[in-house]
Amino acid sequence: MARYLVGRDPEPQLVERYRRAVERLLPAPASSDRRILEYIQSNPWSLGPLDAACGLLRKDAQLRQRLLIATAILETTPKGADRFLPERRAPWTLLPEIAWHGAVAAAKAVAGAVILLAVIRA
Amino acid sequence: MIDVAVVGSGASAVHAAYPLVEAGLRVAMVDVGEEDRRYGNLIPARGFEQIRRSDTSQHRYFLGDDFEGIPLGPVRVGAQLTPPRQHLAAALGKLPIDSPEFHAMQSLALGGLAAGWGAATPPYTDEDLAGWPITRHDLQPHYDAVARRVGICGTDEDDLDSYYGASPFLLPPARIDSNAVRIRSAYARRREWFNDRGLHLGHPRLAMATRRFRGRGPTRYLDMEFWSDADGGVYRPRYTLEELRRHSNFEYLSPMQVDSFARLTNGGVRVLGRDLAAQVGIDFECRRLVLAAGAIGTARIALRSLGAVGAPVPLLSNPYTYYPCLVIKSLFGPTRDRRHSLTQVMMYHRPADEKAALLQAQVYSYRSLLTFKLVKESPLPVRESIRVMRLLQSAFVIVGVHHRDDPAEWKSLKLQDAETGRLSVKYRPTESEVTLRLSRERELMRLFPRLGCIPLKRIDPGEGSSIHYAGTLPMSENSAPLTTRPDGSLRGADDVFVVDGSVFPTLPAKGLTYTCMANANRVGEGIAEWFERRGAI
Repeated sequence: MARYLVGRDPEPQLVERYRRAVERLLPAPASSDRRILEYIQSNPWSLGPLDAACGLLRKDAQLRQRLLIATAILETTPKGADRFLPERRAPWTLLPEIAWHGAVAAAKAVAGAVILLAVIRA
Repeated sequence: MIDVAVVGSGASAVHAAYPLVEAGLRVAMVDVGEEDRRYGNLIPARGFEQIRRSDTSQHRYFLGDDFEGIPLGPVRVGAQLTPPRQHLAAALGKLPIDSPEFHAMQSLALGGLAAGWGAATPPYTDEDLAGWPITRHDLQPHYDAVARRVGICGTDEDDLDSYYGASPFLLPPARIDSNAVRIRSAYARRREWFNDRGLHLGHPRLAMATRRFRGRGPTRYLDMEFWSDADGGVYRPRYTLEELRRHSNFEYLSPMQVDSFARLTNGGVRVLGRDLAAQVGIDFECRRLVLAAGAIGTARIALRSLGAVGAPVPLLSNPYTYYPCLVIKSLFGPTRDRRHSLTQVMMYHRPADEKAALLQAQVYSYRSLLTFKLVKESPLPVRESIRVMRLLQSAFVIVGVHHRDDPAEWKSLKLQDAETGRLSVKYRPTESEVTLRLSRERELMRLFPRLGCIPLKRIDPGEGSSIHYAGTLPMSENSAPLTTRPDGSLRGADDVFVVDGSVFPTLPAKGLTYTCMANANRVGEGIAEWFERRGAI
């Protein structure tokens, strides 16, 4: 997840912090949540599309909640400051960059919705 | 015998106690006084960005040891309460209340809910006080006394002058951040246009020491006000409590919880409660009792003591919504890092052609509440959200909108069980009330694009989310039961005085804390005068 979110492997203490947070904050996953999480474990490439699909269709999915927990843990580290504190961009690159992220998100969501339905119905 | 016992240590309690102690009366403050002992000492007195880049323990106070700072559900009441402030709401399980449709936050903390207060101090005008048995003229000397005690920054030379009135005791206004500068300059360019549409904006008045004040501050603009009071800039009731504790005629009794009182036949009051450390009952007498446990807590004590089980009393709370917005010019221009986290711009809105109630809107810049909370609200994938939020964050502002509240049949509070003190709250706004709120907000938000500020979403955290509760024992000239007299005394218990928001007959959209403090000072002075008249001082 850390590699997906911020492009680097996390330190072991962050992994342990994430494990404790999930244990503390989330109940045992329901069967549909479990199927999604298992699918991602065997098909790591699907994390992005499923994240996008859950953001639109299933905001309360455990996948999304686990990603938010991971985000919170990665953000609150000195290294995380570089990845999360506001970033300045020149006006001519800001809008194209936001548009690019939007387009990527839309493409992922379309693919993810198909996978999500298939995984939940399986 | 104690002359006066004061219940609670919040904003009203300490300012009621102050004139009593100054008059030389023997005063005891009875309080549970819960404190944060876990996180406060971990937070360095440094700026937010510096902390983020250097402190390896930051996860402890930003997220909490039990990860209580990671909210996964919808935005609800107290969303702004960070782990170091969550002890303020720790009373939730200890003060029983059935309140399914109303988030009733109660506090047993030292300093009460004002220990995490946003420090806005708008005074009420005569228009705000319409229907009250007291006027601005009655409150003015007490607003001034409180201002001299807490330190209020602001100006009486901008467009909000008529909403505030002059104050001779203002500290210099707080420095505003880049988003606020841009909103204010957009307003200045079309000022008449906005004024014609009923919008006025300017500097907020904040209980913040912008220069050294009574041993506090000055604020260092650390942008850490949601997390800590490290620089002593923002006023907290405990600063006044510290001053009170220097007097030999003042005693702070804690951790003690007052449950009820009984009138003594020969005058005076018997106070009953619990010593929470020794786990034994407390039972003492005083000549006057001052209730300042918050509108809900005070109502619980009064209703239990008067045996008013099942009798509904009014309950008021400012309806509150948030609007995350983007300040377009801040996406491209430079931003100022050193700033405070509190209100940057204060607005008042009332359509010019209507007799509609005033709306208050406060603009906060979003940064120190962390990015992951914004990511949570975004429909984008988490990964893309992080990247987009990072680009947009310096332009993000949160606009908090407060509505006025008046008594109505559909909002009330009742004591269910005198033994346990269990309360129940009914607060079901009618459809027309909800529609009216929405239309007023839409009208206001339609003006925002002209301020260079684009509203993105409406977030309604639910009824009670303003944490501004009032009106349970309203002051009135009529001698109705379960009301208070203009001097603060409780009908049915003449030696008991109420000084918190309970006594507000109506609740204007403006924050209530400053008026709670001023009114408490007024009632406190009145009690001191009574003792003086009897030659007891």
